[in-house]
Amino acid sequence: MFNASLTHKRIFVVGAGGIGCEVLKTLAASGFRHLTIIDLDTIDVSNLNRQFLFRKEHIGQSKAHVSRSVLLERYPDAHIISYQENVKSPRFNLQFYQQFDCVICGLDNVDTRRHVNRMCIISGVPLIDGGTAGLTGQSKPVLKGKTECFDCTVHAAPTHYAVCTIRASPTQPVHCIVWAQMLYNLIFGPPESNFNNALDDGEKATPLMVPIWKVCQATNGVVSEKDRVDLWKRAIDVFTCSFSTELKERNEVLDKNMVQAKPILDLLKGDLDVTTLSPDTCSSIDETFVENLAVHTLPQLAKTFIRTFYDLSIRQLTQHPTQDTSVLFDKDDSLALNFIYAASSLRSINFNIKRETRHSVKAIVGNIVPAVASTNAVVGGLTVLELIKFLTISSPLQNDLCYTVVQMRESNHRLLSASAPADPNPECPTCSLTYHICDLNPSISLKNFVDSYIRGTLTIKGDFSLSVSTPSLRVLYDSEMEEEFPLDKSLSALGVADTTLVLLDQCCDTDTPVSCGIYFSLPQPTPQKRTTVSGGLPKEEKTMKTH
Amino acid sequence: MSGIARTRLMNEHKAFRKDHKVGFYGSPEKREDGTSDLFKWICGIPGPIGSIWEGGSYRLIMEFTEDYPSKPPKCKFTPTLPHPNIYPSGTVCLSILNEDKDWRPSLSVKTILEGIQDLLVHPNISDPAQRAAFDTYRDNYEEYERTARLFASQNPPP
Repeated sequence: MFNASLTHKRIFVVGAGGIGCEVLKTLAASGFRHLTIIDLDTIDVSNLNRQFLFRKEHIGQSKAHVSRSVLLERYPDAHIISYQENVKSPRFNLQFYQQFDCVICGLDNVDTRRHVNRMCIISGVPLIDGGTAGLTGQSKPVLKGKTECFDCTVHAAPTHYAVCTIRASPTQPVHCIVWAQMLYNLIFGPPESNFNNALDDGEKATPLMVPIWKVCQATNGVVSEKDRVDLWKRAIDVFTCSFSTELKERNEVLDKNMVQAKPILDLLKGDLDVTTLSPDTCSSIDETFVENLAVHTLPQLAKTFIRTFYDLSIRQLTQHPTQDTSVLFDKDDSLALNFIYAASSLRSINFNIKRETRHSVKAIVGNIVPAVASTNAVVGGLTVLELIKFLTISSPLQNDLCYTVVQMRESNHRLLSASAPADPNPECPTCSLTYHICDLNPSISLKNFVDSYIRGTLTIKGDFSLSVSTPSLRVLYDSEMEEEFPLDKSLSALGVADTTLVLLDQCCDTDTPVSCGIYFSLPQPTPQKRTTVSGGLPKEEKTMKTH
Repeated sequence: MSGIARTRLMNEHKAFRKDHKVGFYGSPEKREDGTSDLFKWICGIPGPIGSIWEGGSYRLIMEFTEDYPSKPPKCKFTPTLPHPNIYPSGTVCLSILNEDKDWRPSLSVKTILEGIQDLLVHPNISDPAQRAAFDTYRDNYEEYERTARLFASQNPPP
């Protein structure tokens, strides 16, 4: 049936979602019995259509723990450890990675993938990265020094829109949606969401474009009748200002050759007088299937904007009485989404841009890539095939490995296209570096570290600089400007700790500096005690973790 | 962590230190712990000599992201300037800072700062960013000039 030698191989599965569930099921069914699962997430009702380890009764529980217990029911002889944690946590250090024969990654974001990729490169543990987006996907093996790693190619970054595009000259539906989201964040969002808000005019803001908390306050969570009247009036004023008054001003100052915006009030003439609306007569659209795909009329959109602005104001003031307790925009928040939908549609009408349905607006604001169960299954299966292949070949070469791309489109005659993985990119910021494992205690001073470790142990000559990327990219030291850096401070005072990666860039005459990584890995105080929990234990102990 | 952004910004810093025009400054912001924030630069642009901005030195924050240099930095005057193409928030509206327009990864910090300096004396009236400065610039140039000169005198070089 299966290769008995696989039973004892230890596999770390990162992510127990769409791909992870498939990987775990296939691993167990293929005979793997030593699995470690990590996933930060809990199970949501929307996962159930494709993450087949989970059932209705699991909603709200940890993906990692539930997948572990479900697998144990079927494979009671398996040894499975589960963590409901962020894989970037320092406890998942070098020693942690080194206990595994391979890592399989099924993640949905670039940032965490980069982290796992880097840990695998530093520890030398093979990685197989699975990824899907709708009907396409891939399985990619990463073997240090033999194949390209995740960072060897540049990954498309999300587009940032220029302030002027968003504020003054939108040309695509997405510009209007970004604008609507910024308007939402400015008035209802937490301060951190407005760090780079294009609509934020700071102290010079017009009195209408300020956070709702600055306007009025709820006493003991109750908004007074008078405040309600004011808030309703305010909703109408914001509507008038955003979609008409401001744009008229814009039109006046613009060059004649620029596109003139169409003020909504002019278009509404005769159909609706917004000043006569009241909370009793003005309804928002409903969140139904039909409404999701409908093309709404201008009066419907106007009413929805005013109504949702008012409802959001009341909700924020009663439930999140200060700006510090406010919550980020959530695509599953129907009220907030209705606001974004109405605001972006009105703005699209202003600028004569194609309008999106509520359904597509939700996909755009939520950056939702449709998840397809069969793509996940194919990719999950491929990662395990690849794993079995390189565990059964002694010291696999590049040509033994397969980088497989899946395309499940009808027009495509080949479901899979496999090729040998590409060579490592010699300029890769991650796998081209040499990594030094440093077991010095970070209480050492910066000066001592530079003199004895870098100049001494590593025998680095000439000018160089040191930086760390956690929590933000910071320069610790630059030998050309030595006096500007805190030489007497300890490395720990500068934020260096166990598991910190310090990057050293040597300056040379060429444009590309020679770099290496210094990974702080403190000796473990006591030999690590590992508790492996197997299926035979009582249920309450099943969620036990190591340590 | 993007290695490209890091090495490029390190090089930009060295290059700028060695070569910049008189009156300009720019370097990663010093943090309280003594390290410096490579993604946030504190810069200064001198008012061009002979212009209404002469005598002032305008502080500007340049914010980079992991995606630099494929994406441009965000440039923000603090405090904001009474200029038609500067938003009330201080954000600079300039085509070379727009990835959909004229941004190119080869543009250096030095070039960006000089480009913004040039914008001070050559406002682009087809793309106004603040109402008050735009109106005075167009309708009452004397008033615009007076505001600029006053602003310059209030922002002497550090």
